[in-house]
Amino acid sequence: MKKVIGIFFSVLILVWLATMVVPVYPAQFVVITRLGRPVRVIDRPGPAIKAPWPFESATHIGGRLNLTEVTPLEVLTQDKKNLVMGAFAVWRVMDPLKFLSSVRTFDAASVRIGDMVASLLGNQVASMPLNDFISVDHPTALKKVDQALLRQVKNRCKSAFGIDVVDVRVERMIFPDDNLRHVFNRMRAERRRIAKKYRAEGEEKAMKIMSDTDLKVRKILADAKMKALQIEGDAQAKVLALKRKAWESNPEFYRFYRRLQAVKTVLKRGGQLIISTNSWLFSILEGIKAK
Amino acid sequence: MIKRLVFALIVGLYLGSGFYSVGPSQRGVETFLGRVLMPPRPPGLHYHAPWPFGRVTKIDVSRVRTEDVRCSWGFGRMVQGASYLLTGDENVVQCSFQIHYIIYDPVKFLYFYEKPGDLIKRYVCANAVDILANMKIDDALTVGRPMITSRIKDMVNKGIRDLLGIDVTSVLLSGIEPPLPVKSAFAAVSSAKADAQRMVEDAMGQSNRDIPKARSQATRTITIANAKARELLDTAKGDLDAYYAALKKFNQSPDQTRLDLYIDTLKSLMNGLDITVVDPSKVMDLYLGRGMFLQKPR
Repeated sequence: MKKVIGIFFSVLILVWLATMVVPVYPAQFVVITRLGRPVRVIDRPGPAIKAPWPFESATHIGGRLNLTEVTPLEVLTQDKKNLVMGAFAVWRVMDPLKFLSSVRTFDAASVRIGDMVASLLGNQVASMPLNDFISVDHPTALKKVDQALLRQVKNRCKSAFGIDVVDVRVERMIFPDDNLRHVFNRMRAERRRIAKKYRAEGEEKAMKIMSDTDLKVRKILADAKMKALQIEGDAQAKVLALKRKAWESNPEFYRFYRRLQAVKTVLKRGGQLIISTNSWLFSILEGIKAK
Repeated sequence: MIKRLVFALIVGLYLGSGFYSVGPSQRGVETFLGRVLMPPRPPGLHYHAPWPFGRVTKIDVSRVRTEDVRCSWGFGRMVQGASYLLTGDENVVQCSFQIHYIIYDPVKFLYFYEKPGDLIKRYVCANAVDILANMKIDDALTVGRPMITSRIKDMVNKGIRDLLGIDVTSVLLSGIEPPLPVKSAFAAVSSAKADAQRMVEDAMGQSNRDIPKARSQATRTITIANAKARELLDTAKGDLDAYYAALKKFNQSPDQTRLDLYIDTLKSLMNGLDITVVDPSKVMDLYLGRGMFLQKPR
């Protein structure tokens, strides 16, 4: 019996002593409080020693990165253009005591940071023209906006809430819905214009091809005709030369022979032939009859 | 005796619970009362102090993880027009990405943020907003795509590599397109391009038919001319051969040949001709028919 009680009490004491050891994990803070009053902060991972309960208690505060989304809000640029912009902030607890004494909860911190970013964003945008946000000619200044926001938010959150804001980024930038309608109309009109341009260009090219072809075809046919005439002309010239040679061989006989050929050709078609008794033709006829 | 054995067994089991193995693509992040024991344990068999003193979390570091990112506000919530992004020439596009990343620092990845995937998505979209705000819409939809993905990869890595202990290995543009209300207008441009191309191709096709046709026509013209020329020459040659033959005969016996030729000519004339012989000394006028008169010189 005594043994059991002894073991029981030993275990109890062991458990009580165990409350002296606090495991601190990475990205965690442990705030040691003495009767409700915070006395020290452990920010290094590993086992920590404190006075046993109830003299000192340990409260864990998350040191992880948190993300706060800044709901898109409508802002005005310097040149009075409307934009809807959204952002997010990445932050973590840096000074747990300050954190606990200011915002205390993560939700509250999120709200405060979100509001801060939203108002700073509005101010920042109002000092810049639309060109600084969207442009094809020169580089945009979105990075500068991010950096400016980060700088301002970081300082304020550090001193006010013990929060380290690691990054602030604009994640959304669009025209308001009303403007979008106009933008879409413009986009549609522009596409129509581009489509027309393509069609016109195609037509022009096609027409050029057809007229070029026409020219080529004409030239080919004309050249061929010319060549044909040349060939025939050459042949005729050759024939003429041959005839001349023949004539040169015996001009008189040639003439005589040719005359007879001509007569044959001309009169072949039939018709009437009148021969005078004086003519040589008659004398031939006589000769024939006699034969 | 048995009590001692049981006691020893319990203690043994308790101490033995500290054994663990790390798989081939894993690392074991071991802690002792919160302190991370560096370096993260490589694959193999290891031992940690039993619970609650020591713990281990195993993380797969070689598996390439994927995140699908759709740049829309209210991640997860379907909001009309939520996924529009502005381009530099004041146009609007929608886009979505696929990110591949691996863990290079398991300790950071494990402890520093609860849902790293969310943070990655945010950074991707923030950078997409920035990049597209500098581009023309036509570039963004076509030739600018590789630039978009490579710049996003660089910028996201710069932003969150150290923060989360991850390395983005590749960024894919799973889709970039004009918003629904203007999609058909954009499609119309593609079809206009196609139409224009077709017009040009038709013209070229026609040209490819017409020119060879003309060429063959030209060839035919020349062939005909050649044939005609040939015929001309052959005919002339034939005639001249006959002439030379006659000449030869003439040179041998001129008078006889002359006579022969006359007779030959007359013979061929006799067929089909009306021949009238007239003595001009006796006749005054002679009607030749068809309104012509042969007048005797007075």
